[in-house]
Amino acid sequence: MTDLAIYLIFSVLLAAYFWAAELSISLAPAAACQSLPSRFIMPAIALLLFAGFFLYIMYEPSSALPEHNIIIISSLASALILKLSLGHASVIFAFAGASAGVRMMQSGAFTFHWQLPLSWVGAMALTGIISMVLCHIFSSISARSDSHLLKYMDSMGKLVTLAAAFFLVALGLNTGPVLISYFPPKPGSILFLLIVSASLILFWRIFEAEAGKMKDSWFDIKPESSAAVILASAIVLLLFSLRGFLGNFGLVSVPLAPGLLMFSGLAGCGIARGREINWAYTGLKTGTEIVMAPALAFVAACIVYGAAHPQALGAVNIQVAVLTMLLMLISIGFFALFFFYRGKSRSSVRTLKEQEAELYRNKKAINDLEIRTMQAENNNLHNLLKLKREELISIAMNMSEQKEFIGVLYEKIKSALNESEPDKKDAILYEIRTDLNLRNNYSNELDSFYAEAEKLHKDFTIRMTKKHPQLTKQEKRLTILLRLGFSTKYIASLMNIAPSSVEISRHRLRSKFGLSRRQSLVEYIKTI
Amino acid sequence: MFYKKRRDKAIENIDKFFDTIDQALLVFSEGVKNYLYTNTDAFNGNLQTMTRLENEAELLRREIESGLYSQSSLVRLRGDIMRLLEALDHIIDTLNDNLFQFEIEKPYFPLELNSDFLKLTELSTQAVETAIPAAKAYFRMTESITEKIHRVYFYEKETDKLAKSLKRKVFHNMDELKLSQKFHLRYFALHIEELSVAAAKVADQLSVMSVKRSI
Repeated sequence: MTDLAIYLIFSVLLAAYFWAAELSISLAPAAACQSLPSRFIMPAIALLLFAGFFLYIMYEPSSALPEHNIIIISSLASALILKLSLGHASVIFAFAGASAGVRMMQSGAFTFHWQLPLSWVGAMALTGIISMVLCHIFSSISARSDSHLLKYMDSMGKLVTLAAAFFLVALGLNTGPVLISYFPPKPGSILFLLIVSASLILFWRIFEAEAGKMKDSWFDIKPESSAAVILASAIVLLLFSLRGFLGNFGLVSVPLAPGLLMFSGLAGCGIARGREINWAYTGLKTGTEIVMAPALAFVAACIVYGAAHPQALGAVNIQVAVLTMLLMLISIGFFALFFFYRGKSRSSVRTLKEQEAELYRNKKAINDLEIRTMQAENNNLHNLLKLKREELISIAMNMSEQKEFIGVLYEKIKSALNESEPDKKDAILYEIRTDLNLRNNYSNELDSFYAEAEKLHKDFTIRMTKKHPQLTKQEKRLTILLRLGFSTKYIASLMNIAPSSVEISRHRLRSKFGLSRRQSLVEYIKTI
Repeated sequence: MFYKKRRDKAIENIDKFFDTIDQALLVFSEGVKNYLYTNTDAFNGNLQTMTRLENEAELLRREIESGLYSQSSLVRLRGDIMRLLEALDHIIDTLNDNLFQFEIEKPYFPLELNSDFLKLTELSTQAVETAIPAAKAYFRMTESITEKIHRVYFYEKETDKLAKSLKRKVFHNMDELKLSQKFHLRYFALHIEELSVAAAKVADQLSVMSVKRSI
């Protein structure tokens, strides 16, 4: 019962890993073309995969592997570890390693099937080549076709959908041996269907999210490229499902990692389109995955098997132990190499990003500075405008006042001319003189002049009043004029007094300020 | 999956849209000619036709856009196609606005400038006329876009040259005109020239789109 429970839980998790980490990548190019409405995707995927799987069962009803729980746990654990560290790992490769580990622990001897990794590498190379050729073909068809873009894209969408369907059937057929090995009683059991369906339903959201993520990163992929990549992967999956055919080339039919096939297909398309590919990084990453996934699963299966069956450890000979150790060392070596390389590339990327960030910060600072300068300029202009407007208003008011005054004078002069009696004429002339005198004394212009002077020497009068509250209004005005540097003569004319009166006022100011003979009155006023 | 009927409808609408712009160009040329030769009735007829065509183009553009949104396989190209349609729609808007400017402002054209203004209109509309096959080529023969847009740029330059010489003529050689009249003529030359500028913008857009499809 416990065995069954472990089996069920881990099988569901393993299938979920397969959906989320591998199938999502495989179907991302199709998703990027959005060739299927989302509501059809899940049932279609399940149906097509099952179709492929049952095709396999029809001609290859092999029995389940022994110790399937150990294989499941080891494959899942190693795939997860690699996924976390490398970013991608195939559970199919891990499965091969775990099966080999369990077999070795059972028999006590190890036989290395060199065709296995060779076939994996061969499958990837073949996918790249087929994809490159297909990409060329589709692109030349696209260039020559004169059908409407909408029709063409529609046809390409259909082609991508068909290719994806073909791919899923081929994937079911190819991974048949793996799936069969995972369920215990016999092939075709209802249990298998339940497990696969349960994992698909339970982890559908994760699959969707992963596929969406991949789709977004490949969003720019052309439908021609999508079709080429998916078709190439499907053809290779089909070829590697046929027994006997590959023997002519020294290869064997093996379950393949669909995600890696897709990457190879994309690389092929990239070559066809003349894009640059970082071969060193891609090769190292793929090689690490091909070597590491089975090696890690092999070691994990040996450890789990040894823990579950301690008596089996006695049967393991020295060669097996050395091999396990060697595999572990190779795994560590690959890990170290990969992390070293990744660290190097990440550090250069980080430096680049930091430089970009600094550039952005500098640009932002310059922009801020420019904005501040512009704001200051705006404020200045605004103030200037305000000042000019006030001046204009004042001038306009003065003009109207002057006009009015001149009008009044004109009328009075007219009446004086018309007046025959000398007394009355004198009275009118006297009145005119008084008006002119008053006008001279209380000119608004002078007031506005003092106001302007106040603006120029901000708060001067306030400070002056605070320091010397005993000053009269006239004296305050005199200090303003002295501060501006006007001469005695000019001050006299402005204040409408005699120059000698200015001198007296200056003397009075000096005594009010308490200045000695040596001290300059103007200098003192400027310090206030 | 995009349904065949809706797809065919979208194709039909796109073709209709191009035809509408083509018709609008003819109407505009006729309208300018009728205004210059003071065929008022014919000019008013042109105005009505232009308004109808502008409305039709607007409706068609909206229909095409909603059709494109429902076609999932075009997701990668949708934005570009929309931009192209908007640029073309802007041309028909310009045609309509320009013709109405004639009707509203009633500019005075001296007789000796009639032929120049007609030539300017012809060159400017030719720039748009050559932009339409280029836009059509995007949907059928992407490879031929480059050679087609060269013609647009050629006509745009020619329009620019003629507009400059016309303005020079107005300001240097026609002393009998008032400054306000000169300004008015320059303003209308600019309006007509604007068409070729809009065509050049369509050509720029097409050039980018063609590169995007080839990579």
